Amino acid sequence: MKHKHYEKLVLLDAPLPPKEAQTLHEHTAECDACYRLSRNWREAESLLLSSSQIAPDPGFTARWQARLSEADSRAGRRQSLGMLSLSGLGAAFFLVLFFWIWGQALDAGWIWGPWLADMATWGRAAAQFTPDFKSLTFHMPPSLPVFLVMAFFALLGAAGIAWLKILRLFMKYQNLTTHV
Amino acid sequence: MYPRTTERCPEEAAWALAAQRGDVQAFTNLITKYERAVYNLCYRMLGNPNDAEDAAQEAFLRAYKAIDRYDPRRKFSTWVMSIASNYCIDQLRKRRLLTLSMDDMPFLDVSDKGPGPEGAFFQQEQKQEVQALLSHLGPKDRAAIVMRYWYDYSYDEIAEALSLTNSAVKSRLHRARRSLAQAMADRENQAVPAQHMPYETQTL
Repeated sequence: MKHKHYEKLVLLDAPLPPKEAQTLHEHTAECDACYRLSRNWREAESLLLSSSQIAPDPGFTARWQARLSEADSRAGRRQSLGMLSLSGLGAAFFLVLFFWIWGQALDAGWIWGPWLADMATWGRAAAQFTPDFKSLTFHMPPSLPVFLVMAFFALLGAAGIAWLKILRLFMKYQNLTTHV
Repeated sequence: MYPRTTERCPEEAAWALAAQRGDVQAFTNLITKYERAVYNLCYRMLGNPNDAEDAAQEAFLRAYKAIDRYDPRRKFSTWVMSIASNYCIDQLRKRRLLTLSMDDMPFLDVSDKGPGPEGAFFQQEQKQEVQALLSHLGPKDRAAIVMRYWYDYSYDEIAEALSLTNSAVKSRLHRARRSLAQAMADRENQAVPAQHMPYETQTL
């Protein structure tokens, strides 16, 4: 208990009041453990205090700028890849949706007119490849069209956000290259 | 104690605000001001110049990416030192999981440049002594000691940087000082007892 108290005083990093300093001095004069602790800590402390700050090699900021530019281009590549995948998925989804609706519209006789002849032919051909989709319509929930519209707007929103991010990244890159 | 090397300069808040608006030049001004402090912290934490350079670069990169979250009313130095020390603590924890490689032994490192052969020798020797001493401390205790003795940080600033309470900082510093005194005694005795093995060489 007594040692703990003196250990605390020895390891305190603030100047001791004269009375406590005197008590500690008297104790360390007769207690070998506390004396050694005090001496060792003073040595360690003076070693810490005598060592100066170490500086990095010259050109630290330039190296950081190069690192930032590399990190940005890596992020840009990742984002472009993500955008491309998203666009591909979106395009595939809308293509399938388009042919499905086209086939349905042809069957229902909603599409007519000589100016649509060619497209109608393609549509009929496409409709032949989508018999499963047509048969699926009997089992699909009535809320499907609403869901499709929502999915369309969600995709549109995602594409918008991605585009804004790319724009921001591009502007940041521009800002960096003008200052380097 | 050392004179404060991370005192806030009048332009600091303006640079930080400009950096938040996307001005990279303003951020590089902050880097120029604090590169030495951050590098020194990383060096004292990790013990070799290559890791210190990498950690300091990474700390500034993380600070730049998170600059929107920085509150300009606070000291930038405390904020960036907090990022750097946390990164170094993570690195030390990862390193602890790996076996100790020769590269990780700071006392074998001779790649640093210094003034004159004799001066360089003594500087190098002192650097090795300090690093050997610090290697007896755990990551957070080491960070607290470095902030206290190299940057004269107050307990509050250390607490803020290391996400600790004020009393936790006090007890960590007390424990660290005791460990350092013990390491000094061990060095004198030329024998390292198992319970005081350097942190990096302890097994899990």
